[in-house]
Amino acid sequence: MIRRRLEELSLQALFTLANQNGLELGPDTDRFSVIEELTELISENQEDRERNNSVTVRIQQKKFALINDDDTPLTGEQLDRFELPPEYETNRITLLLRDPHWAFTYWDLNSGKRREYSESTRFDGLFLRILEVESENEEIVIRDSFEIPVQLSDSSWYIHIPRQKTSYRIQLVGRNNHRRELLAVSNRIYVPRASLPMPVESMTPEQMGLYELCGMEYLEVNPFGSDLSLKEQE
Amino acid sequence: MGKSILILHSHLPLVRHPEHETFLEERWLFEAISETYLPLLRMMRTLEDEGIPFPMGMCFSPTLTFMLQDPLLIERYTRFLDRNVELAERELNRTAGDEKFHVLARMYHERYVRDRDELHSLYNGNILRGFERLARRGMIELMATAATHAFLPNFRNYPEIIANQVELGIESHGRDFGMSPRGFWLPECGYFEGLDRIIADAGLDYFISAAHGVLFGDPSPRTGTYAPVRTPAGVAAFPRDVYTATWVWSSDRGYPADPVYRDFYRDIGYDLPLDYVGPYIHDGEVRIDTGFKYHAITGPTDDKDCYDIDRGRQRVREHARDFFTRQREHSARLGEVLGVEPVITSPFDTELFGHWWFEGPQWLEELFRVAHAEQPNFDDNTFGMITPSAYLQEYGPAETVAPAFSSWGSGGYAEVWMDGSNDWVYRHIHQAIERMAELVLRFPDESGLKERALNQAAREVLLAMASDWPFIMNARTVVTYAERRVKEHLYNFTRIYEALSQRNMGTEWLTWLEKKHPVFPNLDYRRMKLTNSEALKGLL
Repeated sequence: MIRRRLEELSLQALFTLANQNGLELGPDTDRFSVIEELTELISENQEDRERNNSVTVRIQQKKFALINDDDTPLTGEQLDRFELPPEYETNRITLLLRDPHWAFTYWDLNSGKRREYSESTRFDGLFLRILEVESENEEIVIRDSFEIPVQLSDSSWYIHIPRQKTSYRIQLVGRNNHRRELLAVSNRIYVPRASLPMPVESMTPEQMGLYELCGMEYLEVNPFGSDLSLKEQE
Repeated sequence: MGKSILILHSHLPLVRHPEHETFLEERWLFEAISETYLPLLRMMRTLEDEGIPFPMGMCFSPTLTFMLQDPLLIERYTRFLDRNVELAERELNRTAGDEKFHVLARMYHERYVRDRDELHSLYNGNILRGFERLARRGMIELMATAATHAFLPNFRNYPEIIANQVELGIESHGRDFGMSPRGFWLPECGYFEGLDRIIADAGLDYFISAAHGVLFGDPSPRTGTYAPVRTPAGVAAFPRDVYTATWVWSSDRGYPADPVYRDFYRDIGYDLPLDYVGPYIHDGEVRIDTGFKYHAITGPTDDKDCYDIDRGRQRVREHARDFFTRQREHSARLGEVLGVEPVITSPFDTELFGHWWFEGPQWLEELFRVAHAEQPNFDDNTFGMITPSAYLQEYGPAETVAPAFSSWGSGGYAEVWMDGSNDWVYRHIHQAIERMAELVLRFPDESGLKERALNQAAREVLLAMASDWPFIMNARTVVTYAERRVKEHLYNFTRIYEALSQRNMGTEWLTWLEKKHPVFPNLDYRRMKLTNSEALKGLL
């Protein structure tokens, strides 16, 4: 199916695809060779993904294994014309915890504010202000914060979470006319501990024995809380 | 001496396309019935006839139970069986000169003929009756799961909607099996802090957690992953055992990878000429798995041996005994360390057994045989199999622990359902959830056409929440289909939302949509209200 899809593309589109995927091809490369190279790259990527998946995920994929790629028939002209809006007409920001090291945030800016910023000569950028907050309070009591500059064209971001066992919110802030404008505040997320409660050197022999029997090496996460996950992301 | 709990979780998303004569993805269901659900029922009937108990937990998602009882899909499944019987007959002719292959062709022929016969004569077109009967006799324990199998942590900003997913799942279970569940399967073992309160409020006794969800909990339990814990809301959490599970799950070292077993990938849909398999593949030209597989795994080679049924059966016996013996030894070691009755909880996707691991149902049968032989008196104190409820009744949870955010997916959290391939869905599904809540506020007590439209809007939001669509996008398999499904449900919802605002609801389209996605026929849109969510505070 992948090959069939590729064969339907123009040579220019194939070169663009190859370029996007980091394939260095000479300008004289013929159509057949480009398709060969792309097919090989795509199947290698697929194998890499499968290798990196946990066993539970790999098994689950088998349920949906009919063909290698799909060729879904269209279900109606109106649906085909329907486009999800890139954003909604509101100023708001949502924060979702992906794992104890990373959160995902998406935000919307209404078109009026977007226009105001894009037309302003004194617009100095949009920022995500990440706030570490008191867990139990409804009111925001800020312990610490840092900022990430984003583009006006951005609408989502992955954020590295510096600390566990604490809570976070995000503020969406615009800087215009030398003023900081608070556009939206997100929900609060609680970031749990990403490891066993005690470091390995503090464990008693009994605890070590128990954790060994629990099969720590087969966990999907590092039980001793190394920064492996961060390195992988970077 | 400890106990072992086996849990089989069965789920498929709603895939039903009456607008097409045939639809490729509907085969997910057909393959699962023929390769997994019917063979499991056969296995359990055999054990029942022989007086061998097979205590285990089983779960069927509401979208799956709906499809298993849907006249349209069952009619299409019958057609699928007819085609496969026809192909099996051709295979009997094709392989007539080669006894090794012919034996296998005969096996496939017998299986598909038997499927057709049992579906209608034994279960009257509804195989759920087979599982229900076994549950009523106390042979298995049936658990409930979320309405559309949503990955709940990604919707934690909407606790009322999560409660809806849980309650609708329980109600669906009651309708399908005529009994109340005690246990709940969290889709993908996805847990977040506070979910236990929703589970407890729904009247449930227990759920299954990822191993590190309990190990990293507060406090980390003294029993590790080998006893259920009581959560602060008073519900029990059985942590999944990762140690013994790898003997089955691991795709390179696990039992299913044994060279003697049947190979999943070699299929005549790919191996035989198009003019022969054309009528049995997609659109006559797109090669797919037909289910007719003749080769053993053999090893890392393309030169595969022919599959030998007897060798496979023999190896299954060895692997079942190995699993039981090693679990018992592991349990004995645990007993020395823990000081309580250890329990090894092993949840699996049901579709592993038979679909991917062809010999899986036989392995389960042999496992229960071994367990029975080693524990002839079911109630005695030796190591043996037990259901979650029976364990709780006898031993109860070990200690109080607040479990932590976790899942059984790659990376242990939400990475599979939230990465660059699928994170875009949440902006739109969250928006649809909030707009649905807005509709409940605007139309609190509608009837007639408007009520039908609102109920359908609620259905579309729930269907968009299924974990399967982001999962497939992440897996990069049938991505176009998954993307279209999310888009389709959001389109349907948006069209109703806008029509209600403009007061121009089209009856014909709504009726068509109700027939296309008729799941949860008694759904009341008023349940989709948000009162406590942070998100709604902003909206209001």
